[in-house]
Amino acid sequence: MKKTLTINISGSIFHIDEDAFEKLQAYLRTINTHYGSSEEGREIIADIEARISEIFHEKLNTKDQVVNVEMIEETISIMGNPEEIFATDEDNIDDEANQETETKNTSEKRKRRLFRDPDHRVLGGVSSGLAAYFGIDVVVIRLLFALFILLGYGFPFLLYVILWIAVPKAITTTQKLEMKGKKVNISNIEETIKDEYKEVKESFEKMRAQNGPQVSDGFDRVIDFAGTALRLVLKILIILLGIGFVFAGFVTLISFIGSMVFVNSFFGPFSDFHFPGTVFPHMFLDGNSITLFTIGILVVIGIPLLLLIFAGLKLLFNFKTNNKIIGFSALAFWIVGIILLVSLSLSQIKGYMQSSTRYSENLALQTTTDTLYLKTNDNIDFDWHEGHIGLDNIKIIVKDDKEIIIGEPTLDVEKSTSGKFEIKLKKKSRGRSNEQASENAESIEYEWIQTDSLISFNQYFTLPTATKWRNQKLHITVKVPEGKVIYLDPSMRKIIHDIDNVDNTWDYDMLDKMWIMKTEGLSQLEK
Amino acid sequence: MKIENTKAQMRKGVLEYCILSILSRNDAYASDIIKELKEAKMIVVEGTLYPLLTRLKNAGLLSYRWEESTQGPPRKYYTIATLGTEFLNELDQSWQELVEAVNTIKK
Repeated sequence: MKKTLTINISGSIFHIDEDAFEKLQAYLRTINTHYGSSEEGREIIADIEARISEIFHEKLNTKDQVVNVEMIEETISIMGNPEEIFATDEDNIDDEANQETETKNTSEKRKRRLFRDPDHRVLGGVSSGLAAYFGIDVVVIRLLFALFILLGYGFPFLLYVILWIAVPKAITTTQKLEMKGKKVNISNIEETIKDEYKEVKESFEKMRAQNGPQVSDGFDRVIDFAGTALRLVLKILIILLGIGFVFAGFVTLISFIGSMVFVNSFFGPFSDFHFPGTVFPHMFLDGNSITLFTIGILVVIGIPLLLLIFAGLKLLFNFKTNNKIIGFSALAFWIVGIILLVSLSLSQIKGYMQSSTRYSENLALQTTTDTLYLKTNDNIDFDWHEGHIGLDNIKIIVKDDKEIIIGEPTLDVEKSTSGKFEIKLKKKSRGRSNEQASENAESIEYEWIQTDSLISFNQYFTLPTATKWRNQKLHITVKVPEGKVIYLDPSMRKIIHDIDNVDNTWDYDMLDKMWIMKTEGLSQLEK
Repeated sequence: MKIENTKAQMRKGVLEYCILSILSRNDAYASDIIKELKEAKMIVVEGTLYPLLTRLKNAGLLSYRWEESTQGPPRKYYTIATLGTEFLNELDQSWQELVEAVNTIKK
């Protein structure tokens, strides 16, 4: 039993065995590729097909008879092998006249090209194509691919996909011949280079011999020699460049993708893994934006790298591609990536558009003495040496597996008008809208404690866990009435900020001293 | 220099000459031309003829019309064009000269 197909050649319908069909298809494809798609080429192909159709008509006795392999073989022997047909081709004759040194066997002399091998494929035929190209057993290449992927290296997989996309499939007989054509492996590259080197040497020696007695056409020889030498150097350069491109592209791409994947999975919403250095983006963005940003950055940075690798591969292996289509689609994707990033950035900037400031009431302090002692209290056990992410005055730290967002307040001293010690808090934040900004400002949590005449300020203010960075700020103003005294404990160095005083004393020199509020301002109390 | 090349080039020139000669007698289908060329042992395989016919046609030496066929689709019926006749006359002349030249040398 055989499967039969129905085909239409030059307007006639034929039933044909599957194996016969494949043979005929391969034959016509070879002819097609040779004559190409020019008008003349198409006409020649149409004529040949019309003749094949005629031959079938002659050979088939009844309409229902099936075209079989023998009939195809007969037809091909009548029409002639592709090589015989092409022999009358003008271009071909010229070509062959030029290539005197080449051997007769066409399959041998063809330069090897990298193709995907559709006849021995598992996935895309990349491995079998590479095997044919390098003349290695395909098993070796498949094992290498599998091994690397098992070991957790991503790049062979990526390489496979790139080759799958970029390398054309060997369809026609010519392409299949080219796929296994003259060897081009590393030793072969070496060989070609050696050959060219020999050529250079020979032309150099020839030049010297000719230059000996008479220097007649020495100039031509020099040019000839220089040309050959240049060709050799260029070839070596191209190979080195190709290797460099592929290598650089891969290394950058892998480390880049690695870092993206790493960052995304470690601070992503699916992970309960927390350590400083990974919490960064979600300080600013919500989950969706992070994903989109990641994609955008991957595209914008990844595409040039992929093109680099592609260019390198093209320099190394000689294969045909439609560069225009690849270039344009890459450009299109890249632009989409850029647009994505820009629009995301714009929408993020909106989150900082409005600013809002909230002032607390002036809190009058009940004190029994004329002196107020100010100190700072470590409300959060945090050391600079511990890991944290800081941005301006806001920090994200991780304590007991919990993220805490803390900020450093600033403290200033002013004159009180009410005759009492007062404390005023100023909370500031940005947000998408005015309401949002003031909501953000409102969410700033801060405490200070009064024990008689001792005020202890928390060193940090805190923000609720899910809060995003919106440039939150807290400013504390301590108001001192005239004639009253404050003492700045050394621990205050952590929060005092540019306190005005009559002597223009630096903040840190004001510590551990008593200061009295006079009409003209804060001045040091003489001991 | 390869003998195959020389032979192919010689054959190609003569083949064009032969096609024009056949068509100068009467109009013909491609299959008729092929039959004659095969009998004369000018060509071995039919495929060679089609590229040549198309190129001669595009050069304005030949033209064709479609003729209905009793079996199968319509076929191309080739005619020699005026330009082709002139060309053929020149070829006749140079062929004569060539044959004489070769004969003189070979003698």
